Amino acid sequence: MAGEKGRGSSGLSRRKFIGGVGTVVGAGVALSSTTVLQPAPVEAAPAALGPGAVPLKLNVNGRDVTVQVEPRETLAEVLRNHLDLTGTKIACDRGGCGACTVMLDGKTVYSCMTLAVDAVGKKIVTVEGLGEDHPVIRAFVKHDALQCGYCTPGFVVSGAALLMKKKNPTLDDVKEAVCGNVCRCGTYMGIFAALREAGGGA
Amino acid sequence: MPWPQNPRILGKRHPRVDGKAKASGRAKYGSDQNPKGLLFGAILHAPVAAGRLTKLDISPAKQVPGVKAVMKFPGIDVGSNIPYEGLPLVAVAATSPSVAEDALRAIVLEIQPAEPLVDHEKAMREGKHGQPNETGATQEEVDAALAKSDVKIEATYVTSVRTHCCMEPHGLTAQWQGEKLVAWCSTQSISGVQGHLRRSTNASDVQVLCDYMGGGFGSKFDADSWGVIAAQLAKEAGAPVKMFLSRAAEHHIAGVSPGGTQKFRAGANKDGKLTVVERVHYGDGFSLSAGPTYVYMPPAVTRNVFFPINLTAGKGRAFRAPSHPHMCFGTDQMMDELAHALGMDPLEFRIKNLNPDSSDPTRAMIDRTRIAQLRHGAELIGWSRRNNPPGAGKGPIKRGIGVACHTWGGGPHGNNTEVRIFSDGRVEVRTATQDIGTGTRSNIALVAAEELGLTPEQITVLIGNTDYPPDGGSGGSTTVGAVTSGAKTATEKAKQALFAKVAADLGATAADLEIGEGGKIFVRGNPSKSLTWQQACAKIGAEPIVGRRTQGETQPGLTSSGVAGVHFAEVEVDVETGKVRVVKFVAIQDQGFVINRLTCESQIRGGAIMGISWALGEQRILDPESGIMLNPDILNYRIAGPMEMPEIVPVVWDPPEVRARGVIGNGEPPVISPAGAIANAIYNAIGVRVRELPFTPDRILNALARKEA
Repeated sequence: MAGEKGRGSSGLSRRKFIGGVGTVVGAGVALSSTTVLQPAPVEAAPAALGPGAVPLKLNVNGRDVTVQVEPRETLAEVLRNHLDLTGTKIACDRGGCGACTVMLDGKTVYSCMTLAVDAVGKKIVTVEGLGEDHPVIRAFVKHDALQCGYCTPGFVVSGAALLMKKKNPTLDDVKEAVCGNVCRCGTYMGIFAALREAGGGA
Repeated sequence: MPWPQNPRILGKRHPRVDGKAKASGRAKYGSDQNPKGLLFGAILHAPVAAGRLTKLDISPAKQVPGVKAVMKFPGIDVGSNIPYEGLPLVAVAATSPSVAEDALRAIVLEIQPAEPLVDHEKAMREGKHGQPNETGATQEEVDAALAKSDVKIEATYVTSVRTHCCMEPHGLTAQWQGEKLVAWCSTQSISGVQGHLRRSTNASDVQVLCDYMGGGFGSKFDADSWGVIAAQLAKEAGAPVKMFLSRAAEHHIAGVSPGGTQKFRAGANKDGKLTVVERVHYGDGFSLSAGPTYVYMPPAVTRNVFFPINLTAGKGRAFRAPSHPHMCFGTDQMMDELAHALGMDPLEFRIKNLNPDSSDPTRAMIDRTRIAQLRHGAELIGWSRRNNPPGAGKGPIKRGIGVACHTWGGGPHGNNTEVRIFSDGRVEVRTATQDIGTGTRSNIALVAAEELGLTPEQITVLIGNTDYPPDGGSGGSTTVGAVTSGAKTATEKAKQALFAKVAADLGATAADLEIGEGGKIFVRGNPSKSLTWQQACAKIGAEPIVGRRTQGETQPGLTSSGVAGVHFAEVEVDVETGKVRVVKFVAIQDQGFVINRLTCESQIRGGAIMGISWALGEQRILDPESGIMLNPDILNYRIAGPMEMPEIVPVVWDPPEVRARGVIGNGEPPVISPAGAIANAIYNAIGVRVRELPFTPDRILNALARKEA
């Protein structure tokens, strides 16, 4: 938010309070039911970013890139608006549909629910990073696991992540891997067939 | 029939020509455009369901750094009436989506709320409805016919309001190039968007582009007010503007499928024939488009009454087979209830009320087709396994089987297509249509390839650009007939022109020539006299050969209209939790002559899934006190997900009699019957009729409790 407004009755700014909580937890202080969190000295707080655009170094599809973005921007927005990696889609922007699915250090996340700053230092893989001839993509085309295609990259990334972890996935494995992805056109059956074949499970 | 009797490639399963582009994330949608200097649009929507605007000051928004343009929507000012939640009030364009949100927050907005009206039953009780539209018999005639019937039923069916919930929101990216406006839109009709922008802006020229779009289902046919304002913001800011709705706004204002109540009174005789059907229905935008017997033969006495109601809620737009899913839900349950009242097999009762001997040949054909589909589907689902009597078994998990039937049109819209064959062997097909996910691009490629002996990958399909020969909007299942008849006609002409160019070299006339596998051109009866595709095309000069199909030019037999279709559902109901699970679903659909069997099956599956999704959980929930929508997201607005998928058996129904009808669209028919089939299956499982959608556990448990009482 632009500018810091309003102070609590304790005279603390939000930034100092949040900084204090972080330090207390980081120092491993045991909390009992009678412990009252005290603000730590400001010098021990982690560096704050913003307001306004700041440089962020992101590792995307194996390459380091630096972007100038506000800390409040999501990873999905940065990928799409700053890096023109528009394979990752924003359909609900509230973590409900999976169209924004990317991998962070091999784990699938909703990039619309991830701040770009929280992706710093992690390996980001988007659908573009899988390459056009990835076995999942070939299988999707063969089994017609797509119609309008807007949800498809999210399913492809979820499917690719599954195959990195599991050989010969069962139908239940496949359903669980993509249960966080929604398709309005109704392509699920093709997706199941594609991922089972790509995983060797057929 | 002008389509080949034994096609080389048509009718087989072909992967989409644009499948890789979509699956790999390379496909660029209207919301993916990033022209230089792009600004991001956002809209301040009315946060109440009803009220009057008492204060509006947009000047603070203009002061927010990074905001480049702010404007009110037309007609919005102090004193404006708010007729529903989400009404667009102010639009802004800024350097990032976050800054655009800052701008919205800076706007000073005050509204005096008014009492909302969001319950159509309440509206009826309080007389808040328009004049009824009555057709057919009088109420007294219906009373008399019911009194004379061997059995009669009275039942009320209620369907929820759905939202289209397209994965890609509504909107466009607008860029001015001098006085010319270019818009990348998410749309089912680039021509519709172009017309709307021409009427609403003073652009000297408007070009609309749409290579890929993320779903429309009937809701995306023009630029919408926010698309127009995006163009105006772009003009004022001197920079392109990307304006797409938020998900909440999508649910609020980007279209709903109207829901409502249908009250049936119907009778039948022991011979299994309907005697009388009356349907009184009401809802906001809920006027049903066919009579109360829907696909079945109307008896001598029918009556239809509609009461219009205006709620303070987002308004309806066409939703994939408008009206039909609701008519099927009402009528096919009414039929099921009468069959049970008669003690007759519900399948046989339906067949008795179809008309395969109609004097109207299309009606006769459709009903003949439907009866054959019913018999075949009954075998596939195992109709004889159904719960007997309904509700039998000690539970708590009970299984049941149900059926429902539908119909649709699917004839072609007007189309212009141009084919060019170049001297290097390239083939281009141009038409200003759009592929809304149905596989239109591939259909065009397949038809041209079949005609020329080539593969679909050798055809360059150019669509999604209003600079191309005009085509219509992709609605009503009218596209496949339009573009395939266009591609065939135009390609045939280009082929004949190519024949004319090379005939002399083969010592023949154009009429003697044929084309075979690989595009080889040869003399009929003397195949050694031939040219390869490359050799033949090399004789084309610098200017390509052109073949055109102009709108209105038809070849009889290429397309027609009117389909049947049946769905069978097997469900499991847990009578302790009320949870419904669809176990198996058989979806049989005819669509005339099939171009691509793979995408055709996908439409049948996709339609079934969309209907199952409605049956299991889709409903717009409006708070009765404030009128606001309580589930404007993709978590609580329950689209069916992977875990809810049954076994689905899609059947492409194309015996020779159906193939001979030419191409018919199938985008809509497969979505019509699932809710009706599942309703009837639930009755078979638990012996209790649940007449209100969606079939959430509370409705199942309440119905079971009412039975106990």
